[in-house]
Amino acid sequence: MSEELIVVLTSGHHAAAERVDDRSLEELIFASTSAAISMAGLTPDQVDAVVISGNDQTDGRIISCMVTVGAAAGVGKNVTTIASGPEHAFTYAVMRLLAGQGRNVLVVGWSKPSESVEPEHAELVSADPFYVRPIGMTRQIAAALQASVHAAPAEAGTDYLAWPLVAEAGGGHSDGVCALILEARDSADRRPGAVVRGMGWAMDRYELGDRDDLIAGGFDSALQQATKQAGPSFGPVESVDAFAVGPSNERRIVERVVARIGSPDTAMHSSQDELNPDFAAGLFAIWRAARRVMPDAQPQPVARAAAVATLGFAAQGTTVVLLSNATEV
Amino acid sequence: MTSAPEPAQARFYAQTWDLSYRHALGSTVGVFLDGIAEGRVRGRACPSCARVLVPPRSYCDRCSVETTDWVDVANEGVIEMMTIVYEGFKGLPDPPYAIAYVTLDGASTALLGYVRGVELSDVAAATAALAIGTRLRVQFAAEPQGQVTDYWFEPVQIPAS
Amino acid sequence: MRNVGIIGLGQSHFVKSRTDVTYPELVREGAQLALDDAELTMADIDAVVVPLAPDALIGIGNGERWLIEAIGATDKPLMRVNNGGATGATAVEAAWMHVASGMFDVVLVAGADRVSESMSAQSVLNKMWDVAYERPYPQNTITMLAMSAMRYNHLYGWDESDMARVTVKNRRHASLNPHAHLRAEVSVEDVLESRLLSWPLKLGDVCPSSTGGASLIVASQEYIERTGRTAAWIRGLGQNTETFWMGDRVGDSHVGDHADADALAVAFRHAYDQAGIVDPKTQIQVAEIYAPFSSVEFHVIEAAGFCGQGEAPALLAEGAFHLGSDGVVVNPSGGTQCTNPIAITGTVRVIEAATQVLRRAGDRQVANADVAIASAIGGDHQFYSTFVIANHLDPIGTR
Repeated sequence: MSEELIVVLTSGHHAAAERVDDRSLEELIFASTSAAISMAGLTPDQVDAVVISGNDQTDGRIISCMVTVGAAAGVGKNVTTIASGPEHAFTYAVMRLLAGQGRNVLVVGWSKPSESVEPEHAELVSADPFYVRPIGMTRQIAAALQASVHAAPAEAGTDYLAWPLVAEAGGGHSDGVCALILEARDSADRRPGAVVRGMGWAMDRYELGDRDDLIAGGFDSALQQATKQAGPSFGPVESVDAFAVGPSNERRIVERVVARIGSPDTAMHSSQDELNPDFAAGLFAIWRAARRVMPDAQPQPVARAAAVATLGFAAQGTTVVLLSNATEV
Repeated sequence: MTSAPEPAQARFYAQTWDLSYRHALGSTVGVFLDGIAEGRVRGRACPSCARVLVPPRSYCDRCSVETTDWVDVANEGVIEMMTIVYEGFKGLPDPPYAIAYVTLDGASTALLGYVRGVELSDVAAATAALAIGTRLRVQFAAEPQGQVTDYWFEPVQIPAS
Repeated sequence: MRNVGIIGLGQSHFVKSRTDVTYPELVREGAQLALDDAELTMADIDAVVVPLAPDALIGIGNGERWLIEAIGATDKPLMRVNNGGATGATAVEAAWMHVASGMFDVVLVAGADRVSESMSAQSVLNKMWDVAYERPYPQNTITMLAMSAMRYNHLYGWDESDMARVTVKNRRHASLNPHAHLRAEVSVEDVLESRLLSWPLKLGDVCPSSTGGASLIVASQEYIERTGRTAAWIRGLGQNTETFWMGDRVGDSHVGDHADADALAVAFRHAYDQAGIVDPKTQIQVAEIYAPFSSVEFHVIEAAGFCGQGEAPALLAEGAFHLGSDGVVVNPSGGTQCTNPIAITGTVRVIEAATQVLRRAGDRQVANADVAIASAIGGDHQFYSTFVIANHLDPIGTR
């Protein structure tokens, strides 16, 4: 960030459910974006740009930005679809503001796997067609391979989806939309919000057999980018929110973050208590972390929070966002 | 120095994405399709710009507000643009067929539909018969399937073949 | 605001299909050309932006994840843009954003497409449409542009011969461009006699399905000056979005007519304002504008401000817009109509614009090219990206 300008996450709205059958995807997006815009004290006309992210195969729409942009207050605006993941839509939105492109940005990420008759089939087509697809791969299977490196032996009578991952309710899928408003502010501005102090993202190699880091691909690079941007005065984080497929995989990521930039008092949160809507799960994790430093946080706001989002098979890519409480000096 | 080996022939992997979806349409589309089953075309008004949106949507993307009142529009209107498809594409219907956007009387926006009842083999005659501004009437399927293809357009006057 | 320049470019010789390389290898091919051009390696690249449009066309979901090894992007920040047909250009905007933010100095844009490898491209593109109201209809890119073409002709009094003249011009240009896909010259009669696809669009009016890779490298002014490089400067850029609903672009209540490209004109104005362009006709020498079908070129020329609405066909018939003519030359590369690798077509427009102002365009060079524009269109004429590219940072004068 520059000395004069900070980027602040000022409001957001999310909605998630195991399945939403009574509303279309566009209606869900409209509801969350309208709420986020309104809570930021803005009218739709005052939104300067929109960055969106969804997965075509999951949602059953090609070039999903076409139909969804109207629902996301995008008509007549600068709209970019960052299709690699909503967490990248978030970092791109921050870059827009740092580049002086407007005073605010609306970021929207979503996933509606309930519309896929077999969402795992949609995941399968992300597998390389030569070496992996004929064998079969889904997010869960990849996460199982990832977790197997550290797992205790199998237990009889356990309902494994793919050892060592156990079967989850709803197949581990859920529908959801997350809409966030980011604003550019003067660095002396102390109005509430979550200041984006540092961020980084990176990916490891695609082939599982060739990964440098099976816990979270590109983790070191992403964390280093984020901590460098946050600067030496950014103290230890007081809470960590992460998303990775497979609870044990996620736990290892959180422990690593705490070891590197936390303290013994850091609150290590788990995404398992929440719904994590498939393609949008990483953005939901960033939003959870942001809420830890905002005024409504329970039991009270913390000063600094970290978010780690992962994407791809066996966490091929990692995004790290470091946030601080805007009201603190 | 040995040169790198080349494969004996180019190889291919045939793949078909057989992805199935069951898209939630939402209540607005549901009311529209109910209307079609009753022989009516319904639009929905934006309280801000006053446009009557046909087909109806639950929000106006120009004003970013929810639409409110349902408005029955007429079953007749004018062609705004159209095309006649003569080329077959995989996964799409056998040609020839005509599709058009029609602004029905009372609507602010145009509705997409097949145009039937026009001989299409003579492209000059067919495109003249379906010139912009031509009036068409909405026809409804005797046994609606709950899809937008339960309606289509026909000329108000069927041209002599 | 940080100035950003293009310091490396590379594009394949585009063809219908390539059986010798996989998708990641094709992306690598384009990236390597740009890196070689800039005399850099991946170690010098700070971040990567991948233009990749519908996953279904290349047959893998989130194919950007598959690229990491092939382009040597392990541990680098990488993200992917998908704005439909505008993707390749919007990816350049995204790369510009990476540099202009101050976070990165040197950013690679690298992508590829292999449209013909999808045996069902128009069926795939049919899935762009609204699931409830339009999917049951056989809408695709050809029908949607057939409708805007017939509406334009009706509103302004033009016909298929005028459209054919665009093809004639572009094929002549492409015959001079070794990277282009369709390079055989044609006559107006050839176009008019070609197979009718969706009236009034015929085979001779539409683009091919192209395969190849393209890449460019952008860098900050500070980096460019520090390393003593020549650059094609991005002097302005714009992006705007139209309503998805084509039926909303007709009738009495429309804001922009589906025959015209008013939202694109707004995107051009954003880029022009940044660049200090007040009179496109006298300040711009080259226009590499995205027009996959002949008819589209007219309303893009008009949206770019080179003439009034409905006037382009007459000017073209008089010889305007051709290589060698006075005034702006439109698509000296042959344009999208002769080469359309969907995901990167927009990148190729920027590459061609930069190639012209760097005076590296060989037989297709426009004399005195100092300022060029590039544009791309995505969705159903919905997403518009625009650029002004110049070989200097001084105020842009008139000829």
